[in-house]
Amino acid sequence: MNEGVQKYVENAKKMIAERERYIKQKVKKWKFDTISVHGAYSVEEAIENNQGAIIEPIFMSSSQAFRDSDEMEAALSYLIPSWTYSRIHNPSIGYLEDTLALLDGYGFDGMTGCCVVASGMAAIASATEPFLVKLTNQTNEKINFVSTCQVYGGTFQQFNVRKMQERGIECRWVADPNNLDEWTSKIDKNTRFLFGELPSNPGLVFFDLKKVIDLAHEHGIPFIADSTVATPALLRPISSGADIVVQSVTKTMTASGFGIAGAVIARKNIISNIENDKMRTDFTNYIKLLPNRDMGPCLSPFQAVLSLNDIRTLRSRIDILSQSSMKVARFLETHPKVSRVNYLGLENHPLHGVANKYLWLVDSEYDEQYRKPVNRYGHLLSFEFKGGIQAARTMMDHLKRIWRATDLGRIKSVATIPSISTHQQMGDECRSMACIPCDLVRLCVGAEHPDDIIADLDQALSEVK
Amino acid sequence: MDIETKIVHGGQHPDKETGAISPPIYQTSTFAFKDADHGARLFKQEEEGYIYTRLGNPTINLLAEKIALLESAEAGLVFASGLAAIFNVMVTLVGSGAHVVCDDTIYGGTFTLFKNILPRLGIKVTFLDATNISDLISAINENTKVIFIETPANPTLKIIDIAKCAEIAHGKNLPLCVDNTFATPYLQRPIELGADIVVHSATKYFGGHGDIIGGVVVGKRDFIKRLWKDAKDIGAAISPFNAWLTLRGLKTLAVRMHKHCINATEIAEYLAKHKKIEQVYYPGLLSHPTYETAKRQMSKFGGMLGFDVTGGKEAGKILMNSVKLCTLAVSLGDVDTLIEHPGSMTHSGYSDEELLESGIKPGFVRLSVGLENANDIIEDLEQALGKI
Repeated sequence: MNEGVQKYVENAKKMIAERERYIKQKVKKWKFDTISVHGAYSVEEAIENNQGAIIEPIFMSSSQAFRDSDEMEAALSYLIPSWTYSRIHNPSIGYLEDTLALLDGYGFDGMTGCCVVASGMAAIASATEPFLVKLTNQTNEKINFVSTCQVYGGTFQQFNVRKMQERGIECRWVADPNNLDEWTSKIDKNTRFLFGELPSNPGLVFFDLKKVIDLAHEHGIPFIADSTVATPALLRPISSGADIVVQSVTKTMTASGFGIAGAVIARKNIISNIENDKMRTDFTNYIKLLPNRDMGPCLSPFQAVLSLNDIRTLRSRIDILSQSSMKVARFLETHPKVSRVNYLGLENHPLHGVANKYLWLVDSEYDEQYRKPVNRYGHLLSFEFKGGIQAARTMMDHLKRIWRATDLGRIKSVATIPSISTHQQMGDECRSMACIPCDLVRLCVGAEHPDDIIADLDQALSEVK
Repeated sequence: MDIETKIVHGGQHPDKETGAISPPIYQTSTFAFKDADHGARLFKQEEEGYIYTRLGNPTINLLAEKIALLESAEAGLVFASGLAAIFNVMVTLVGSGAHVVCDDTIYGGTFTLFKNILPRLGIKVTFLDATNISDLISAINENTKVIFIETPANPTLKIIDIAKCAEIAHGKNLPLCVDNTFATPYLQRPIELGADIVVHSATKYFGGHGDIIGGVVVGKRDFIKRLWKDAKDIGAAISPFNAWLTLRGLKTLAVRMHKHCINATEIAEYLAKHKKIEQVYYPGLLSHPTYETAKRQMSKFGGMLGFDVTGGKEAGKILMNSVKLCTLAVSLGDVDTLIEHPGSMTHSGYSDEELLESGIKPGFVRLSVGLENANDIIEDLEQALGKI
């Protein structure tokens, strides 16, 4: 290393130490809302680097210019934090990553990292692929992983078709994630990780997270949670011991519907039986600088700031949306045309008890209106019909204000029939395994007044003969 | 540095802290002060810096700097629209009781501003044909504060001699303000010809892609400072995102204008030979009454043209309703070819008499030639003319 490069490295070390001190001593001590609003973007940073801009600038630049060749060498060999090229990193991407790492790491003593990517599906691929590598030179090495089968249709497709059918990596499905024996029976020495989506889309399945995480760690493998439906405002799997969390940031986090984004959040020093210290020590930094640099699922800096802007109101938004969803769920529960409602907040839901252990509105104990921990269950629910698929279609076709679309997490109410849309690609057999009946309607409740949502559902249901 | 290089690099510096080559979008309404004294110093203008986006923003200022550079001006200021740019210039230059001399062939929105809004503020406006020099001289009185022209003029493509107007204005100690929207600094730089102030609708060729609304004023640094003082209180601030899109659009101004000119020339020549066309208005045609002036002050002749269809307004209507590739829409300077009828659309603020006085016949059709293949545009016009 020449003297010039050395100088950059030393300056960078000071900067990193200062930044870590700021995050540990200041930011990590703030409440959830304060982190949602500011992330790690400080007043000093705004004034020193960004002309005082209160809002994080959108760095729509594909590449970074360097002061001299020494800085370039230091940056490109990853000796100093830099961003180089927006496929690898970018200052605006960094703002979003800081915020997401802090939110999913809220209440967790250790440090967390984040790598944002172009979509939730890219997040799942980025989080899982580093474990699906060969450990030996044997060509017939049988790699497997274990996952709940109640996952988003796209995830099911990625696991079932892309990984299993096309590459021979076995995905072992768990039908009842609350049955620890079933999980245990699927794990062997070639199992690389356990994966679970909770609450699941669209069936709202939930399970005792800590127990499954402990099981993973007993086998020396990581647990990866898809926590998209809950968001860190309700559930933070890393605090329960999870190694990695994936988020489709597109959903409730970016409620405005302004674009597609995904994130991988991990704690430092994850558990894994893969002998790759860089990966285990700092998983998100590893995937960012190496596999994702080579695979290229990068997010647009513009999208990063749009998402960041939506996240600032996450906690209060999900509180209101959850309360509206509860009202809608109660209306549907008593409706004569509806045979079943899946919403974890309903007392008679079989998983209500286990959900109550985990789904808390973050910081409700510090909220003037509650002053105690309060359970909240999000804004996704689903329901089935006494009249089967025809009834579901009739109701859907008569919705006037609720949008028919394959989307969730929006500030606007959106409904879909998963069997003919989001989960169509799974096929009948897989859908029945994942408990998605053909007449299931998925409803993601928006921020309209709940009475208006109920009125629209009521008039549409009255068309069901 | 040649204008083409300035168009690509002008006003652009890698971001100081991050090295970002493309400028960041400072989509922020406000800026943090180091301390209370810092804030006070910024407000007193004792120190340069940012306060609030209506008063200044790094992304917006970069656009102002770049256009000033392209126009060979000392400084610039960006506005929410081209009309906001013109209005702010008038408010700064012309007080109540004062007088403006203005060419009569200008964009319809500018015409309405001068005819209806400015008089309400006590400003008197004389409209005249600025190619008639003796009329121009005699219209100036002791209260006159500015001469305003648009060249090429919207929509008739009349060309006004900028150098001559500047000479007359300066002889009376007046500034000349030129709307250079149609030509852009790639084809014509009024300040180099003697003008004092240049205004633009950035919505047009600067943005170039029909996705923003914006306006620009460039001129002497002292004037821009005066303009800023008024503008910040009038409040027609552009969004940083629109400013950034304009910066992005500007990078390809030279190549776009080059192709716009080639296409427009081909189409003008085609139309000039068409039996259903009475007259074509394009400054690049030898038959154009002010072709010589255009040749002297413009490097090429632009992407705008107009024409009268045989059969007048009704025939023009059939044409506009029959085009399939060209889009029936106002605005101009987009990559798409846009066709419209000024008399009932962009220039509907003109009365029938005013239209005729400005040389806009009832059937006059305006075409903003886009970047499609010229033959495809011609084919579309051919089939549409066939319906008449």
